[in-house]
Amino acid sequence: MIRCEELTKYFNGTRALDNCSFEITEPTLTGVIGVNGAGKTTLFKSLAGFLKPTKGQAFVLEEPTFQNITVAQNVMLIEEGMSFYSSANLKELVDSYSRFYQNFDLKLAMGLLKYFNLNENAKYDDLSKGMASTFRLILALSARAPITLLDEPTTGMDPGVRKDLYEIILKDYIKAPRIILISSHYLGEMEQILEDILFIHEGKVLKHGPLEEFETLLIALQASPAVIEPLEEQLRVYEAKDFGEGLRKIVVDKKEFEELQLSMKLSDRLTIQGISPEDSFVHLTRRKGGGIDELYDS
Amino acid sequence: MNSMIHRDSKFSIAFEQTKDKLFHHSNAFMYLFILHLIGYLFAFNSGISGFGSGDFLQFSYRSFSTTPLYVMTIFWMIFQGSSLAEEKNRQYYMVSNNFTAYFSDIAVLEIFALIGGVLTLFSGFFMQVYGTLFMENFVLHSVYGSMGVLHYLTLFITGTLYFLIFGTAAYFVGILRVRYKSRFILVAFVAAILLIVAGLLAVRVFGDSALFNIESLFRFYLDERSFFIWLIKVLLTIAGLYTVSYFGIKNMEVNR
Amino acid sequence: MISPIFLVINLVVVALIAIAGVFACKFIGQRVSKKLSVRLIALYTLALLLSPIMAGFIGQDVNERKDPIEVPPYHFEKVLEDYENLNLEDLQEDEFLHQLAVTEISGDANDFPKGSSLMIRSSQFAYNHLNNLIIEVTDAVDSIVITQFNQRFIVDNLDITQEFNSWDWTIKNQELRAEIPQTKIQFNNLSPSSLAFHFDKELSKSIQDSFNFGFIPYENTIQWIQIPEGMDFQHRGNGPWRIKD
Repeated sequence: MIRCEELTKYFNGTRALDNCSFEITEPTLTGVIGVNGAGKTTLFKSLAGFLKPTKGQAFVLEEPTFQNITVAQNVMLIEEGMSFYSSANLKELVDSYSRFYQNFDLKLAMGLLKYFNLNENAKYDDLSKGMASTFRLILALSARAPITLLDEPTTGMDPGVRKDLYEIILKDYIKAPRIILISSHYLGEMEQILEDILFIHEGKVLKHGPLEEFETLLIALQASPAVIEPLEEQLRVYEAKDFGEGLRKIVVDKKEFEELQLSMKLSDRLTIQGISPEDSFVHLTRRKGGGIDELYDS
Repeated sequence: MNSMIHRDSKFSIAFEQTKDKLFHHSNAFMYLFILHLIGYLFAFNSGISGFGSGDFLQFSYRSFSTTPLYVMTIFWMIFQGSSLAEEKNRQYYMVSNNFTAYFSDIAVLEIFALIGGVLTLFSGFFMQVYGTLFMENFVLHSVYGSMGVLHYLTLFITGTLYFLIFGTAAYFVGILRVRYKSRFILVAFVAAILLIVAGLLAVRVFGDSALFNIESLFRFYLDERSFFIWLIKVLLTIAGLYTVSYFGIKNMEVNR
Repeated sequence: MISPIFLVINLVVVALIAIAGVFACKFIGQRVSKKLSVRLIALYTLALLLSPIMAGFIGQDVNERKDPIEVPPYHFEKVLEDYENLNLEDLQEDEFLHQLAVTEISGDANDFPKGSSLMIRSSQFAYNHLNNLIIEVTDAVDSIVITQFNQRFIVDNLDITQEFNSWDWTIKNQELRAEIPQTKIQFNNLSPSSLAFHFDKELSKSIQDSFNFGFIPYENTIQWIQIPEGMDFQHRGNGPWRIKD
């Protein structure tokens, strides 16, 4: 259904996507995770057919996406920069969208408008940031497009409303299974509903797979400095911290550590802890070089 | 999930978009109404041409025509053409590509031109009724006695096609502005300088007969007395504008 | 070639009007619903579509004005060259003259003391050389009768001679006097758009040549004064140009 082959996109010399390759063939609720500027929005716009790849290609339903009408009628993208007719009220916008998306569930859309207390006669431009996000999400879910791309769908929403919306996304996915990609940097909130994660960093796909794989991506090793320091020389360290009483903790790649086959030898001296996907994401995307401590302590 | 996939043709989507754009642009009719009111104001307050012979006779007349209505409708078409070319106009539609956007924009412009043609055609009768009812010494020009169906048909066809030319030209300029953004002003400036230089050179080499200015451009169409040659000129102009507009919008990214 | 400054000024004015129009439209458009817009334009279109029918009922018949009417200039003078053989009826039948008014001065005005006579001072009118007087002594009338003829005044094939004011004749102190009220003629003319004659060269020219009312838009009159036989009268001044017995 979705396939990217070395998808690369430049904007005025700035590389937004760098040889992005991945494939999704089955209905899925996938989180697209990355820091600001990682390339998530560019990826979504390329999949929606808005942007022309500089190199490589993006395919949806085995068709190149750029300016493809078949792709357009089967993809729904919502993002903060989306615009609507300023003279139209919410009901007119919903009616408009329902005419273009053949699977559109008008009853669901009007029901959700009512549920979230959105006045159908209000204009989109008059909505608050959170309400506008809610409206966009209502459109996306009601459209029931085979490929639904939600770019930062919970921007500006209260935590309570965000929780509600994730629940609605999950319910809708269960009712109408399709490919839903949700981009966010709030991985912790979304973890419960996601099946897969597509991890993007600096325009590249760093990892794409089931959520469980991310839960065991990185581990924390805690032991005395005498034990830890030799390991630091052999492994890539994402974070190193000293605690009192001669304890040092490092965060390393689990696979790399397992390849050293040291766990049995060090089992009585080394404490191994799992790292949550959200923390893994933070470590993996942390800037290389000087940290915040260096900035303040120098 | 396969049952959710649709493959409607771009023409059916373009048709849907045309209807949708007409709906969302229906405030354009309010603009047309207001502009026509302004047009009537100009039309009925044209300058007095006076002739006086002194003490015994003071003779003056006011001459009205529907020309201000045509001018206002041209303004309206230019405004609509520019408005349709605006970038956000293409951002409003998820189920769209540049072809359907272009197709529906052109269709909307054609419908607007037709409406403009009908309204300006009948505005003359409206002015007749208004003048007869509310003005003293209101007379029709004697040429009305010689006007037949063909003349009214000419009025309608020429008005509609001229409106379409202005609207499409404005659309084309709008597309260029959207596509090239800040470079557009530079390119427009350079193009203007080149045209002026080319014109001056042409006059130097070929004499006054090569003189080209905006007036001669209008005269190229307005002074044509043969219907078929005029029609060819106008249709070729419209086709040319359609073509360059399409190439302007083709492969344009939607970057909102 | 159009002067560049003139062109620039015109373009600036047009652009300013256009910009003002755009702002006005946007300002109003944001406050007006689509429904109202469509209803307004529908009403306006209906009014326009009905207007030809209304114009048919209340409008003017311009078919009679298709053919141009050419009045020879100075006809009012030329016609009086053979005044000796001319009768009032001849002027009444003249196609280029219009009998505007007949004034009869009767009663006590005609009673003069013995030995006195009616004075006609044409110097009153002489400075206005665009009018002619002819005095006829006749037994066909019992009192002084003045018939005013105006040379037909044609504007855009429309005869508007009847719009002129006729002279007010009185006798005061045994003198025949005329008050000449100013005629004010203003009319409003509607022309079709020249686009209608895009392919009709002749009619296109006719629009441009409109208001061909001759080179002098002046009132030209002949005042035919009939004096009853037996009434004494004198005239002073450079006119009248004619006296008919």
